[in-house]
Amino acid sequence: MMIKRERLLWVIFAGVLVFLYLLSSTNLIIKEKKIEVYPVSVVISDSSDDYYGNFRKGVEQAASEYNVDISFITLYEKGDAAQQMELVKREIDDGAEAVILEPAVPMECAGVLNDAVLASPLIITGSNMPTEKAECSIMIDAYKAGRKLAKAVVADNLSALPVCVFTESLEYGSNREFYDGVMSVFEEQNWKIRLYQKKAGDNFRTVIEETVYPGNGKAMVVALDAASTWEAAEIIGESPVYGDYIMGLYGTGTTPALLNHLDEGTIKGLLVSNQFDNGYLCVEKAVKAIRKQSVKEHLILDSYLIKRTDLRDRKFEKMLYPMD
Amino acid sequence: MENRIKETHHFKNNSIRTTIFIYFTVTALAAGLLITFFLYQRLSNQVMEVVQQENQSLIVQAARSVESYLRTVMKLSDSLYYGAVKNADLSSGSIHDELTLLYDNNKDNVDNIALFSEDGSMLEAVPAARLKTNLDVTEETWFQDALEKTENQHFSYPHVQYIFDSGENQYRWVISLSRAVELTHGTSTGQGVLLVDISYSSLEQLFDGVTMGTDGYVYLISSDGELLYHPKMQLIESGRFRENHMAAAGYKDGNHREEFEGSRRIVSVKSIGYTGWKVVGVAAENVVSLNTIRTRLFIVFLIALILFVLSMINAYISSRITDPIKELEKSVGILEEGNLDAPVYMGGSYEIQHLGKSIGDMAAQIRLLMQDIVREHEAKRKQEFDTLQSQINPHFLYNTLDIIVWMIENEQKAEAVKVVTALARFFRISLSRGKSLITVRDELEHVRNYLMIQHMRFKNKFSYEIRAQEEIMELGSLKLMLQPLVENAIYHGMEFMDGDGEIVVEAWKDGEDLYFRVSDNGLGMTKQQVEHLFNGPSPVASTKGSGIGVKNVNERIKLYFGEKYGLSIDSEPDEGTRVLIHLPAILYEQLLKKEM
Repeated sequence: MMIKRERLLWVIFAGVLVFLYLLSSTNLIIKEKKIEVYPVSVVISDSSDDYYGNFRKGVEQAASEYNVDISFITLYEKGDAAQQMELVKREIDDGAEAVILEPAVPMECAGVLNDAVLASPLIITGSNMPTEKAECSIMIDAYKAGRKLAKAVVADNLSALPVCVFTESLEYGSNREFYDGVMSVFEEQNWKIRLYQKKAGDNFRTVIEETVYPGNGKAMVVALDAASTWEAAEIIGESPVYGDYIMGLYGTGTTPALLNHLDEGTIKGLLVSNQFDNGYLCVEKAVKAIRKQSVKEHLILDSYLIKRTDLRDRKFEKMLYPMD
Repeated sequence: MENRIKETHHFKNNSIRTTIFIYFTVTALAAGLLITFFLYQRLSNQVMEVVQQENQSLIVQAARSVESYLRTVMKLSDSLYYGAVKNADLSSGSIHDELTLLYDNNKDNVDNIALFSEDGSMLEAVPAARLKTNLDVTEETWFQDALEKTENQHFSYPHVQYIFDSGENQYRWVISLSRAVELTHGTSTGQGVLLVDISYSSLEQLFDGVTMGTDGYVYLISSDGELLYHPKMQLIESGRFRENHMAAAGYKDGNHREEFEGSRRIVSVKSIGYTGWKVVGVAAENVVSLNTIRTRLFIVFLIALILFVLSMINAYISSRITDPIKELEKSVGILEEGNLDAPVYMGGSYEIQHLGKSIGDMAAQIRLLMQDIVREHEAKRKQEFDTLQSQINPHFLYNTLDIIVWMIENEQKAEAVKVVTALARFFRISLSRGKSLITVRDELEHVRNYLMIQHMRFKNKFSYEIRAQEEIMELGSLKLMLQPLVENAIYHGMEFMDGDGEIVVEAWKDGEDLYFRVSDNGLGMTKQQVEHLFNGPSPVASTKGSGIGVKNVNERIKLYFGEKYGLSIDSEPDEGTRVLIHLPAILYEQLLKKEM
């Protein structure tokens, strides 16, 4: 005859068996790892993604690895911080679980973001922005990069020449820091600097043409952003005459067009960084932030000053021409 | 030793069923664990082998695809060379059309086809392209390789093709196939280099969808370990991902296990002919084996299930064994309590049945022995009783005859007749056909005759009275029970009385008990004397009284009716003595039946 305690033990044993069965053979307790797709929006500071080829490749690589559905958002008008903030808000409202933001005008964006309540984590790239709202920021040290570029300019030119600094606007992205870095070197050398901002109404073509008028002497051009570099390179590349007066164009950016100009000699030096890595890291950090993993950090990417001969260097080949 | 004793003691406290259950279950558990462990190992190894075979066949398939792809390109190179370049006189005609035709047929795989002279000048290019200004192709590695080993076809590492000025803002990753060719210019021949740029994306497509299970992947390396294709090529280049490709270059074809970056993995390798390239498949070992948490839990579940089923069987078997033992134990318990007539359980297995039968036989034997003992005891009691009774008669007879003699000598014939008559009645009752039991009526009559004889003998020194309820007359009494007590009262209480002695015999029933009391107002006794009467040595015959006293009567009563019955004496010196007899109130007829 089974005593009460014995019967209880059998019942407990049977219960444990059922529990183990549910644990090992059903989805009730241990859930199958679902493949989650994370919607992430990338809001850039430009009105087109022409200068984001390498960055996008990195983003796409990470997106395929981490199952991320990427929305790549461009502005209707470059430098429109208010619109950019609206887009960030819209993307979050539309279900973006994280937003990667390249601030159009960092100060303005920071002002808006600091007062906003963000439902999704924010990853900042491109330029430093004074906000606590960002989970993570990934960028190059623009000031150091500026100094690196300016030092290359100085090193390439034995005598001091007037330097025309082209930029779309110092307010955009990290242009201000970059400019400060450039200026710090030129000021050390007592070189003459003239700043031309497209947003302020300056016309690069006019500036270059005025430079090549007979009797105006020679000059150097330093472009602080990829768009300005490309525009200057296009103008200078149009005629070999410009080459006689413009002693060198130095700029930044890693688009194939810019690299072609470097290869052709129109651009003497380019400040580059690994944009593929930048894009990849942004998405990786965004996914970690969505998964509530700690990503609070400020990542500084390396920047390199390359010249024509460096294009064939295997070290730079995959960085400048990332594989699909 | 102490531990062993403790262990033994521990098991002593457990029932056989528990002990059997524990041993069986522990054995079953050990067997289950062993079987599961070996099965797990076996299964795990088999799964591993199957997966490794599948991985290997997948890698072989991928390697064949790459090999076939390379053969196609090499055939194209051969066709270009032997079909277009070798027999053509480049000074008199162009081979552009032939090259274009072959390019068009292979443009899915090929980006560019170009023919260079030994000095690096481009002779033909399909699609039409011009060399970049100031570019010296003789400095290119693929060019130098071609001319260095002219008999071979050379495959470069993946690279961006720089040499052409395409005017596009695009770049293309290619693997350059170069070979030395013989160029004919009129009557002279010279060397040149044929370049076929294989589209890297078409090579990549060969690996699209080729995976090695969860988190597994396939990559391609050159014979010296240089990565040609890897799904994370860019990340490896920037140092964000690491691959063990240099070690893989040293692996022979087949499956290998390695530990890299803290994780164990299975690496499948297959070499590709001619180029020496290797297709390498990587799969995490824990994905291949049965190491997932669910699999482990399932194994635990299986062990628990086996244990559960075996425990149930064990419980059933142990119950089957021990239940008859328990039943037998109960039977023995009943026997132990004295009920030897209770049936002994004889079920279960043969041994238990046999044991039960033995215990039953033993009980029956005990029962017989006990009956013998009782019988012997009864016989002994009767013998003792008869002995005690036989002690009374000779004394009394002697004394009474002495009185009668004395009366006849004193010419007291009438009294002598009375005494003789009383004596005759006395003996009639004494004899009672040898019975030990008589009615209360006869016992009282007997004592009355005795008192009358003694009253005459002692010349009316005392008076006597007998008081009894009529309803008790037919109850059973022990024969010659009152007479010795009355005799004691006369001889020890009345001897020195001078006519004022008084003896009262009373009999009454109280519930289920029958009482007799013999009271005298004689000398009485001290407590020590009373004690001596019960516990002293058996009295010897004396000239005074029967010599058979209180102890005799008390023992007889206890022998016959049990320990709870008997005599009690209440006596004080000079106050007299009261002897109370306590018997069960049972009808004489019933007592007789019982005695039968």
